[in-house]
Amino acid sequence: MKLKVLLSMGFLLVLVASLTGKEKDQFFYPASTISDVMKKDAYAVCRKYRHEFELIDYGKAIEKVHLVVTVLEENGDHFGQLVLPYDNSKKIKSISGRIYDAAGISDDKLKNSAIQDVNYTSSGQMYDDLRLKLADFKIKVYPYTIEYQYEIEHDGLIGYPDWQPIEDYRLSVEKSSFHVSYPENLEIRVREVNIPSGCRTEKNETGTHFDEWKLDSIAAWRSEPMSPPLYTQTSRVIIAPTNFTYDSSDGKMTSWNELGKWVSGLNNGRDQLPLPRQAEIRNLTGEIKDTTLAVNALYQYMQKRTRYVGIQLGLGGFQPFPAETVDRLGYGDCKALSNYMKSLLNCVGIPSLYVLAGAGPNLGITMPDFPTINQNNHAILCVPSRNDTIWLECTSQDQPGGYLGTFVAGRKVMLITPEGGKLTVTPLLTSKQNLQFRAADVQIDPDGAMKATVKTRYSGYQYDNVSSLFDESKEDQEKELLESIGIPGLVLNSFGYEVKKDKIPEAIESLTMTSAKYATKTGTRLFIPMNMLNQRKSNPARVDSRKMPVEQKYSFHDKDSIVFQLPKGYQVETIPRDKTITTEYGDYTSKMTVQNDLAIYVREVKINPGFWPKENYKEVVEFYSNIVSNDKAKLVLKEQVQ
Amino acid sequence: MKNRITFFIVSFFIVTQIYAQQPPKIKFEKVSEEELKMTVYESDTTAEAVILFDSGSSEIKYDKQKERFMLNYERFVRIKILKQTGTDWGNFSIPLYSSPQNKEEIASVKGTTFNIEDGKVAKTEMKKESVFRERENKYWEMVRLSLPSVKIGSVIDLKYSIYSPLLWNLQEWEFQYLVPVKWSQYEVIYPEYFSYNQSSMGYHRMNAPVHTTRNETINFTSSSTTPGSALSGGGQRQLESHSISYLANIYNFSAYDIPAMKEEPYLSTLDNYTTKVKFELAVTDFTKIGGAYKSYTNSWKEIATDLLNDEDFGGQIKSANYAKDEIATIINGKADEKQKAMAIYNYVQHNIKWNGSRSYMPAKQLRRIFTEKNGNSAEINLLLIAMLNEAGIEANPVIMSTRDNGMLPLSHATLSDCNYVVASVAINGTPVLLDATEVNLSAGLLPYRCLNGTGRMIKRDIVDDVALTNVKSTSNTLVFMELKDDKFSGNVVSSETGLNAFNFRESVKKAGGQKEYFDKLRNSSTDILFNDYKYTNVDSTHQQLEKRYTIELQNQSESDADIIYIDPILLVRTTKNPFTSPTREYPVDFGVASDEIYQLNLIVPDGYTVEELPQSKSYALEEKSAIFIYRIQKTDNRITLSTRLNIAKTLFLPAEYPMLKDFFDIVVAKESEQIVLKKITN
Repeated sequence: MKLKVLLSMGFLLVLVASLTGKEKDQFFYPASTISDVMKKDAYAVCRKYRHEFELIDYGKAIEKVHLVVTVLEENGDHFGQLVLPYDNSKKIKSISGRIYDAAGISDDKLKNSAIQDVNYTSSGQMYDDLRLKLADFKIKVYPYTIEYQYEIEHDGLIGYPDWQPIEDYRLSVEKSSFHVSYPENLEIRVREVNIPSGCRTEKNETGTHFDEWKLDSIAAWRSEPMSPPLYTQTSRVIIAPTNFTYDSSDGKMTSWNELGKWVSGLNNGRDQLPLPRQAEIRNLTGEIKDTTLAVNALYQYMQKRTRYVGIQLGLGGFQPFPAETVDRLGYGDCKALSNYMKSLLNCVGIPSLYVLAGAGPNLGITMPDFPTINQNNHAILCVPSRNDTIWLECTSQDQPGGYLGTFVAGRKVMLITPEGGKLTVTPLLTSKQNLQFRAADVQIDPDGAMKATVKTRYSGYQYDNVSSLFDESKEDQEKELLESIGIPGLVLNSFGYEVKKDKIPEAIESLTMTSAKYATKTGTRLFIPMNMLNQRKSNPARVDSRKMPVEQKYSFHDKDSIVFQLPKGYQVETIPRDKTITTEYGDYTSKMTVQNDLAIYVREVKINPGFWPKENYKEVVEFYSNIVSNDKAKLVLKEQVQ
Repeated sequence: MKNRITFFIVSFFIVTQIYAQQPPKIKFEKVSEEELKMTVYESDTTAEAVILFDSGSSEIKYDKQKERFMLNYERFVRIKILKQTGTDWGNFSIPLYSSPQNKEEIASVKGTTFNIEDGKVAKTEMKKESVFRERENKYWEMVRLSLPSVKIGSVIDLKYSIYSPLLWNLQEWEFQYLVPVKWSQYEVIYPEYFSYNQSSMGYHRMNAPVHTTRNETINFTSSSTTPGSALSGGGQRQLESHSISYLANIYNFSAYDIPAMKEEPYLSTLDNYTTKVKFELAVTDFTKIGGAYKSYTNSWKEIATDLLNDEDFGGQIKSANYAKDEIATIINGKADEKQKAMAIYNYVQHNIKWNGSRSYMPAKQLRRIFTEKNGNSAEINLLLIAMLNEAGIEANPVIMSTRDNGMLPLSHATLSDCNYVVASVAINGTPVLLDATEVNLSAGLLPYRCLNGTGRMIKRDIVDDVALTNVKSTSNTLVFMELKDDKFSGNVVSSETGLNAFNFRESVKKAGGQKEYFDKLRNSSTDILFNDYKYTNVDSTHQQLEKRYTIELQNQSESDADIIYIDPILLVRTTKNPFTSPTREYPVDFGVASDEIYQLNLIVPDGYTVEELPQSKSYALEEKSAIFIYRIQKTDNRITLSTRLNIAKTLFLPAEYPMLKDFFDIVVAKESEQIVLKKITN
């Protein structure tokens, strides 16, 4: 509490040289000059962006940025904020900011008043030596314009800056340019993504090579459902080192192989375990002949002995703690834990490879012919085998051995072999494996109450629909189940899970439950919702003029078979019609059969993975909204006239 | 309403003694076999970890070298890890106040993890490599540490002490955490020269506090100073040495078998129910030894006087000379005080941006806020008060604590528990509360965060309790529907007031405009196709908000079917019970009363007759704290349905929870009932 109060009281203010205000006496980028095309869909307009990158030597560079942004409305405020991370290898030489009103008149009083210096410890990280300079002029009168200039000095570089004029959704760009220069005796690599021809100019002068890109008038993008990440769709220039020097370590990045060699060098000699531990490990796996079983035994051993604590210091951003340190502390980050696991396996003669991978929203290596360091942001471990390669996520304490989940699945990753880096792809489970199969027996009472026995098998990625519950208390499990099932008046009589922690993990959920208010009684009729437990409630939002292609990364297969025992004293009035939808995006069927006092409902959905042009999106929405409306089907019973 | 809340708070802030239990004899690093072998905590078998022992002390003592009183805080905690998810209890973050003038120092940090390995006790000591110290900002540093080798079964011992010159920072003690606590104790010792307001609170009982005293002596060497000005540090030089005896007050607090805190929906803040004891410096009195008497806070009246005498607070709200010209423009042509006040409120709302931080005290000069156009809640609302006063309209501050900051104690006046301030202005003799931090609030409406019991008016010589409540949030939706061109279609008119209207206006703002908001609504709805939207008074918060659409039902059964089933609650339907948990630990706190009315007029299509209608029914909880009315009738070819869901009470005790849960089950079930139309066969 006191922390919160004091945080609001003040921050470090950084005093820096004022802007060299050429435009000082004129109107500076008045908002009235922004065209309607630039305003469409935009929360902010980048009026000018000039990014200079001057490479002096492989480990030394100077970066200068000058940008002017007009914020049109409150939702665009974050475009007027500047966040500059820095650490020992990256020094902020100068930073200045100024704010202008809609007419372009500068408010001198605000110059630099909002620049703060803060510590950066993101969620999940315990300690990080990265700090941030943060600039944020908060103003309530829109539009307003912000100008920033800053200069960064690099001493040690492992990657170079990217240029992506449309850095986020809802930003349009009037003018943006990227200027790269380096001595002719140095080499850098360049990759253009979605760059129209004619925006690049090159020249050589006095032993220096100059490269320049310019783009003007780019309209804003909106975020659209089921779309690939923005960075794969907009214009981008990526530059990368051939040779690099970072924290007094030299490396080459001309190929993944070379980059892998550097990483391998960082890890070198860090796999030593204390002798007693070695003995313990050998003892543990001594009887186990099968490699997979031995790997699983050691993986579980590692999961029990360690926990994830994020610590990033200097080269530590790329170099793992030695195995011996992890052994002593019992914790580490993804690199340290993967390296530790590798050391455990090594100790019993099972060779494994350290792997750099992309995780979560980072798609991993999307430019296989253009190595850079930040196409990866995570480390895992691979135990290669001709027919049964095992992948291990070492930061999780409950993940089944050999199962990666969607966090790193289906991505291009770099194996660090003794000979250098090699690319390969992590496995992606298919709709044959990602199952949610359910069978239920439901007894409906004349007043609408129900009593049900349900068994559901979750496997593959759908295992994660329920896996977070396993470690929870019964009480919390019950609360979450009640919340997610959402049937009015629901009471759980019993519930439990049988878990198989395999490479393709599986969980079987058994429920018995009752509700006094399942079917709705209206006068003489009883309305029974057919799809008791797997109703799709919403479809992806319609989009008016879509820009992005459509992507469905993972595939699934759901099947619900429900047998309803109908109450006495009623007759069936209306049976929902059977429905079959077959599309390239997926298949859906629902079927209802009534035999005497039994009503059997079978519903099946298969979602196909794929990548489709934006024109197909309408069909995708239609597919899902058909499912939504069909899932609401109710069986209608009417009281029998005596 | 107010009386009931008050009664409730009194009842749960009372500390009750059942019987005293002796504290366990536990020493640092002396871990018992029983603790190491324990695999489950009997009192809560679901716990991921259990705090076996938590012991703290705060003592104010004279420091001869520093020549002033200092505060020494010590803590020793022992934690047993029972599940993999519990290993995070091996990570700690300890804040330290650290400004250029005043620094708290952490000392004797010692952490040890005990495990059983191969049947033997393995002891791992924490080393320097696991302790990091980082600067958070100008005033605070954070010490972060991770104990080594923490895994299932580990027993962790951690101790540290903090040596502090900040006598106002006598640390509060929490007896309760998100995991259960077996035993927790806190000892507070301070000389008779000091007195602190103590407040203990929470749902779980503490043992009765024990108060004892002992004699202490300060021996002065020849070049020491009188402790008469302990807080400022200076004093008069004394040449001869002598000693001073004083009485030290010792307070012992303890609690045992404390259950884990549990998050629940509709809670003001978990903090309100956490068992803890807090301290606030009230008086320093050195008159006995020839020093000064100083009162820090006492009554609300004195707090009000102090605040009004404070340069930053009272000194800034009397006038706003710097805004004179602007004010003249704003109120130009406004006929009466009310119009003038509303114009100024409107100006501050739309021109000064809230930076998101909450405070009752401005950090900057209001003159600067007026030009920089952004500030914290105190700066914005005090500027509003200053501008109103400048315009000759009397306005006063009301200080308060927001919901997430916990309720203000009733036992004593306290400034340090306040974290927010709004303006109160009398319009035609009626006081109206104004909060200018949000553009979309109408005069008299408080944001949800402020609906937290009672605030205090700060006015010279008068202290008024101000109820922090809102008028109920209402919505009134009217739907007309008929079968037209083979489709059910019609129109909707709805109006909203109170926080409902505020929330709608915020959604429009967040979407980026009325059209954007409408597009979102239209593009994400499946059953109803919305068209021809018209929103009235979105930007005029003081006028009635109204929404209009034409609608068309989608996926309805074929228009010539023999039987047509219709879900009559097309909009604002309660489809899910907000309360699914079978039990409840803490009160349900809605914050604000609500009243939602829905009306449908349905023309029965030609060729059809009404086969069946749901029954009209109403339900009410005790004392009409919640009412649900469902009324349906048919006259000629018109079906008229009206429903009303009225939650009149804002706070429901755990004992009332089952009734409240059932009530919502009834609402959900009743609102899913259908109308059946049948084709007329000739």
